This record gives sequence, C-alpha cells and structure tokens, in this order.
Amino acid sequence: MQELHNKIKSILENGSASLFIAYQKSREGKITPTFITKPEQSQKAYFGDDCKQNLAVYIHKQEVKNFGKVGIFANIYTLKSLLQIYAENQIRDDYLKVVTINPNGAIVEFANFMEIENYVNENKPAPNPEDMERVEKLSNLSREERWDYWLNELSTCIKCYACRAACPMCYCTKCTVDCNQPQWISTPSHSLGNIEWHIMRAMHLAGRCVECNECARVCPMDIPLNLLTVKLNDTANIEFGQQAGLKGELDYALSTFKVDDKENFIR
Amino acid sequence: MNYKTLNTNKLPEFFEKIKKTGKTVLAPRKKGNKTFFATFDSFDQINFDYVQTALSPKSVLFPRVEELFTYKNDDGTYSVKEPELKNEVVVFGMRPCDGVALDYLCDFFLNENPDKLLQDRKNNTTFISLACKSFDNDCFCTSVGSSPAETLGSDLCFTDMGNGSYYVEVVTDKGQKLVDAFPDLFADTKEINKVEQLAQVPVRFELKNLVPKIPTVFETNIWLDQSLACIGCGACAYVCPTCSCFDVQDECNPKAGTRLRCWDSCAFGQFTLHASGHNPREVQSNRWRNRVMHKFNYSVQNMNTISCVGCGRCIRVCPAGMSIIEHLISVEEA
Amino acid sequence: MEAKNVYIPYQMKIEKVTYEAPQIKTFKLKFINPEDEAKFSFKAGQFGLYSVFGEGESTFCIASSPTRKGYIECTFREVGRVTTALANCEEGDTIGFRGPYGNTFPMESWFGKNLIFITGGIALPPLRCVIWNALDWRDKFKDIIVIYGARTAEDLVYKHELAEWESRSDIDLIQTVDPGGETPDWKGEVGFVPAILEKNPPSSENTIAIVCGPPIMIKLTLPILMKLGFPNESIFTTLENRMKCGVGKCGHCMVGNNYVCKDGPVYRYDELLKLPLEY
Ligand code: SF4
Ligand code: SF4
Ligand code: SF4
Ligand code: SF4
Ligand code: FES
Repeated sequence: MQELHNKIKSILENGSASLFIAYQKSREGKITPTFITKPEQSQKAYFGDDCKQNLAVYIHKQEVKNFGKVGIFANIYTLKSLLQIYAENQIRDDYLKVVTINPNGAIVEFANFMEIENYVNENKPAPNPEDMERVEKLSNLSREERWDYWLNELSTCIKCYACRAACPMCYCTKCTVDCNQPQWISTPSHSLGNIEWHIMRAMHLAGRCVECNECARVCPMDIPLNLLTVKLNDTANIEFGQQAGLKGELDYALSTFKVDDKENFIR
Repeated sequence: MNYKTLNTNKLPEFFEKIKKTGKTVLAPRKKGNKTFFATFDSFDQINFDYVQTALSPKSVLFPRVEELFTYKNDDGTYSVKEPELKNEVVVFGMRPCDGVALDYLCDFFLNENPDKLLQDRKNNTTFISLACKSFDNDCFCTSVGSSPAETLGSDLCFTDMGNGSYYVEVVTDKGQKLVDAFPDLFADTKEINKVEQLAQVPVRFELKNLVPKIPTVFETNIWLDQSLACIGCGACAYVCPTCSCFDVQDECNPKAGTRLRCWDSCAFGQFTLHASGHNPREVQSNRWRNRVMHKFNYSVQNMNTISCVGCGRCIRVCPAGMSIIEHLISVEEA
Repeated sequence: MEAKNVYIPYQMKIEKVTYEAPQIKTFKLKFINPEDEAKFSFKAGQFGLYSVFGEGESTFCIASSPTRKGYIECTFREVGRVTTALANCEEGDTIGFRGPYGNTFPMESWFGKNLIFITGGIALPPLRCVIWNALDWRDKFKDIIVIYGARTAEDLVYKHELAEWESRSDIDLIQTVDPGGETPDWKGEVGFVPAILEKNPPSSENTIAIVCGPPIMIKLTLPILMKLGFPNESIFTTLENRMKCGVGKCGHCMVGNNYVCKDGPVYRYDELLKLPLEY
C-alpha cells in the first residue's frame, strides 16, 4: 500500500495529474472511489480483492474532466475498459495517467496505451467459471425456455439504469432510451419496455463489454444481466474474431462492413 | 390502541384465511442475496431472515409503472376511462421505518391536491410491520427520529416476543378490521414492553443540530466532494420509500392508448433538462445536493418533517458506496 | 375527502390555428363538453398541460385573457415530441388540456399604477394574457408600455396584434429586433431588449415591471431596472421549469422547496431572490 501511496503522491506532485482516482475504505467501512487532489491525501488510497467497482466510468464524468489531467488506479477490468474506450477514440493518451498493481504486488505505471495493451494481453483475466456455467446452461435450453427465463428475470427490472450508469462502455451523452423523437424504447418499466431496453442495451455492448460484471453487481433487482453481454461477446468473437478491451486499435465489428462478413444470420 | 397476541405457528393459517377472503398477501421473499415483497404459494417461501427488503413497500401504493387512464380513439373522438383499483392487498413484514415512510408518502400525495390513485390503493391496503430484531451498519432510524418500536404508518405491528407468540399492536381501524375478521386466531392482551425484544440501533448524528445546519452549507463545495463518486444512476431514489418523483408517458396504437406514470429520480441529468437545452441542475453535485436538501430541508419547510426514515436502502444499493450517514455526519462536522 | 383523478384532461377542439412565426403556432381551443366549460375559470399567469393522445403532455401558459370567455388560446414552439405532434394537429382535431395550474399575477394590486412589460421572443404569450387583461380593464391602470423584441422581424409573434397595439393610443408598444434581424421596411428599434429599455427609460415611480424572456435577457434587464429605481417588490417574472404533473407531485419543477407548478410560475423578484439558482 505504501508504494501505491508514494506513486500517487509523486504523480500529483510532478503535475502529471491534478486528480487521482483510486479506491478507499470509507469511514463507514465501504469500498468507495476516492478523488485525491492533494499529495498529502495519498494515503487514503486502498487496494484489495474487495475493490470491485470499475473506476473507468469516472473518466466520462464532467466534474472529473474539469480537473484536466487525471490519474487513475486501475484493476485489470478497468484497464480493459480504458483500452476499449481508447480504441473507440474517447480518450487521448496524454490525458490519463494509469497505474495498476501487477500479480506480484508491484506498482506498474503505464506510459501509454501500447503498454496497457501489452499488459492486459499478458494478464488476461480468466472468464468467471460461474458465469460460464450459467451461460452454458442457458444456451442448452430451448429457444422458448430461454425466452421465458429472460422474460421472467427482466420483468423485475425497475429501470433505475444503475447498470447503464455503472458501465464504462455506456458513455453516450444521449442514450437511445432518452430519445423520444422517435421514442425507440418505451420509458416505463413494464415487461415490454424492459425487454426493449435490455435487448438494446445488450446489442450496444456486443463485443464491447469487457466482462467486469459491474452491471450485475449494481443491479438492485439482482438480475444477472451480464450473462447477456458475455454471451454476445462470445458470438462476436466466434463470428468476427473480436474481443473487447484487448486492443488499442480496432474496427468495431458491428459498425464496420467487410465484404467477407458472414451473412449466415440472414434467414 | 388495542393489543393482541398471535401464536407464531398460527401465522400460516392467518395468511391462508386472508387469501381466502380474496385479498392478495405480499411477504418478504428471497431472490439471490436480496429480499423483496412478493406473493407466495406456500408459507415456507417467506423469508424471515432479512434486515431490510431491497425495495420498499411504497410500490404497493405508488407502483413503478401505473396507468393514469386509458382511452379509445374512434375516428378522432376520444373516450377516456379511469382505472378502477379494486384489488385488496395485505403487506406483511415491512419494517417500522417503512411505516413512517408510508405515513410521509401519504401525507405528501394526499394532503394538497389529493391523488386519487394513491388514495384508492391506500384504502385497499393493510400494512403489517414486523419489528426489527436485527439491524446492519446502514440502518439509522434512531438518528432520524424513529426506532424499531415505531408504529406510525403501520396498520398492525407485529413483534416476535421470542416465546412462540407475536405481540400485535393494533394501530388503525383498518388493522382492527383485519384482526376482527379472524377472532379465533388473536387473543387479547395488555400493553407489553416490547423494547427488550428489539434491535438497539445506535444514534449516528444529532438531527437537531443537522437540520438547521444543512441550509447553511448550500453554497459550499461539500456537495462536490461528496458526490464525485456518484454515477448518477437513479437507484437510490427508486429504492427509497419516501421518494415520490415520477414521469408521465403516453403509449398507444392508432385506436387506443394509455397515459402512464413511472418512477423518476432527481439523480438523472435529464430530470430538470429544459426543452431549450438549459439545465438548472447542470452537474451531478447539484443533483446530489437536491437529494439531501429535499430530505432534510425542503420537506421540513413544506411539511414540517424530514423525509428520510433511516432505512438505509440507498446506502446498500449505491454502486459507488455512497453513504448518506457518512455525508450527513460530514455536514454536521463542517 | 373524495379525491379526483386530476390526470384526466378536458377534451378541447382546435377551433383555429394561427401561424405566428417559424415553428410557432397559436391554437384557439374550445371545450367539447359544455359542463367542463361552465366549471372552468382561470386568472392571468396560469398555465396548463396540453396533450396529444398517444404522444404525451406539454406545459405552457394560457395566452388568452381571462376576460375573453368561452375559449382559451395557447402559443407554442415546436421543440419536442409533444409540441411537434401538436403542430401536426389541424383545425377540428381534439387535444387534451388540464389546468389551470399555478399562481397568478396579482393584477388587482396593480390598480392605479403604470405597467411596463419587457419581453422577448416566445415569452410574449404569457404576458399577452396579462396585457389583454389590462387593456380590457383599461381604466384601472395608468400608462401601459410594452417593450418586445425578437431575433428577427419574422420571429415576432402575434404580428396582427402588435399592429393593433401600435395603432392604439392607450398602449405604448416599442418593438425591436436584434441587429441584423430587421427587414428593409422595419420601422421599430434595432438592438437587444435591455439596450432598448435603457434608451427608453420608464419612470419607476408608481410602476410595475413585468419581465419575461430568455434567461440572458432577464439577467441583463434586471440591473437596468434597478438603476432606474425599481424596487424588487415592483418587478415580476415567471419561471418555466420542466413540468410533468402540474399539481406539485412529480418533483420535476422544484426550485429549492418551491414547486414552480403550484407556488409559481409567477414570482415577485424579491421572492425569487430567496430561491436557489436552479431555474
Ligand atoms: S440495474 Fe437492474 S433494475 Fe436497474 S435498469 Fe439495470 S437491470 Fe434494470
Ligand atoms: S445510488 Fe449512488 S451512484 Fe446512484 S444516484 Fe444514488 S448516490 Fe449516485
Ligand atoms: S434517503 Fe435512504 S435511508 Fe433515507 S429513507 Fe430514503 S432510502 Fe432510506
Ligand atoms: S426530488 Fe429526488 S430526493 Fe426528492 S423525492 Fe424526488 S427523487 Fe427523491
Ligand atoms: S410539475 Fe410536477 S411537481 Fe411541479
């Protein structure tokens, strides 16, 4: 921890960032993000296995951008998110100072996104076995059974949009659900409106989701909605050879047309 | 107030008998790690091991989506139909703090410009609270003027006396009616001191210092400091038993349609956005400030009461670990 | 007390559609149900929620004067889903209306005083209601002055009525357009509303100023009124926060502890100053 504190301190002191985002243990004992602006506050930073939140979400926040250059402590999923966001041209190299702790417990500071790309490819997180099992189980169901399963799960969604807010890849300033001309997605959280919202959400994340599972973690209704994007990632990988959060340069499969694209989905 | 006892092993029978009268019974049920109010087929589906439900019982009076009216369009001539709310409901197992919240919510919706839909639902619902034997770090009812012993807003209040019986406080006429419907289940008793059976929730801040303090820090940086972590989801408002904000939306096909209201949250950037693009609460810190101000200042000005009951739901749900307790303490200390 | 479902709108027939300016129209509306009409009354400053069935509701003021019975008028700009749907309606169509909501301009307390209306663009409609109301009670007031500006001559609303006011001797109308917004035959002023006010300074003696317009116009106008010696208590304005219910429940319109839909939309300037800047 001392090493992390020193690193944050020096980053703030040498001016490579005026705000550093890390985890802390709050007064109430919760793991929360902390926003450090003064070098002497660096010892607030904390890191442990209980630090789950994907901090990459904050780089989109206006009040964070107002600080100018930002430093961020990133776990492996946050790194993947940052890389994917970079590949989608949403951040510049010189805007962020990224720091992580490698599996040996050493602090790593990245000079640029190339280094992040190399790092995440060497330290790819293994897929969550529990999720794999659940996806597998669902895939083995009949189409009707699967539809019923999701209809039932999604009917409980209260449309608080915590899943959207927590997802670093959901950064659109005007989300499709907020458009009302035309009203693509019906706003109320009845079954139809919920299904529309979740199909839209999952499709917009297909092959972009870094599988941090924030959406499922934050859902007040305990809907395992990460399984949708995990499954779609799998499809994007099989069909287009594309995996999210591993490359700094990318033609996103769903927005790029290639003459040799498979057309077997058109029936 | 009247006092009764009910044998704990008679509870299944109580529910069965209520259901036989055509009423819907909602009770705490577990889904994943969380507990929600839901209907049940058999008694063993009810979960008694919970500190607080993830969603509040407000949805019984103020559902997340609700029809305001439906209409038919017959070549440009519209016939409008009001919803008829007939379904009678008994909610079992809400906590005493939720009763206080419902009391506030009903005051808010029914005192001025009374809301017909909420009024109807209220008339059709009996709320039974189950006093708390345990609490967690996020509970702070005793800091905001209530406690596990509170009965305000409940129709009946059950306390498990640990001796195989529930002590039942009959708080309202509606509660009395429900008890009177099943005279063989309930026995008369005198007022009992129940406090020893209940959770002892520590006081975290001094409300009488805090309430006058809050408006004085309106223009400070404290809200930005507190809310940098806030990601502006609406979860805290959606789970909050006193949050009452909603949106109005139309849905239709060419022949018929519905005007609906659905929950909304002042945490959303769109909540105050004008058609011109101007947004009076431009950034998240303005929105967070509004949440705290509403609960601890505006409600006091408008209704002479704070509108937070210390249920802790917003804390448990917050993806960013924001704790209103912590933030109120930091205002108190500021 | 027996509550009533306040969300059920009155059904109104569009009697007349008037094109005012690009994307701005006025509807003259009549109650379809005579009982609704008999029950209905309102005062200057109040607003309503107008709806197209299936598209939703939108909030704007009642732009006609309460002294003109039997109908109401509203003027709106096509900006969103509902106003676009409204703009697509034709004469004879049915729309929904509920209201009147909100507080009113305290016109009775202005008897015996001069009135000056300062307004810009699409903010004339709420004041048009007051202006006609004052003209219909003409002997109750001293001088009536209107300063009205728009971006261009084309953007001025109620052009036919402006011409009428122009020709009347009991109301003083000063029209202006932003520099570059004038047409070759433009006879009014050229310049922003605050500058035109400064150029034609009214006496603050026994005068009520009613200011309504885009935030920037209001922001620049107030200091001039202060300089002219208007006390805060003699200045009135209206707020236009986002509204969904109109009855103090949905929370959208809140400014501090105020619900603009019931505690407003009319504010005396000294009262407005007590609210946080969330409008
Ligand atoms: S977090 Fe859960 S309840 Fe909220 S919108 Fe997402 S899926 Fe629905
Ligand atoms: S739940 Fe937390 S992150 Fe979401 S709006 Fe509320 S305070 Fe902000
Ligand atoms: S603000 Fe939080 S603690 Fe207070 S009543 Fe609402 S959900 Fe419960
Ligand atoms: S304004 Fe915010 S805090 Fe107040 S009731 Fe509405 S959502 Fe809750
Ligand atoms: S418009 Fe709903 S509270 Fe004012």
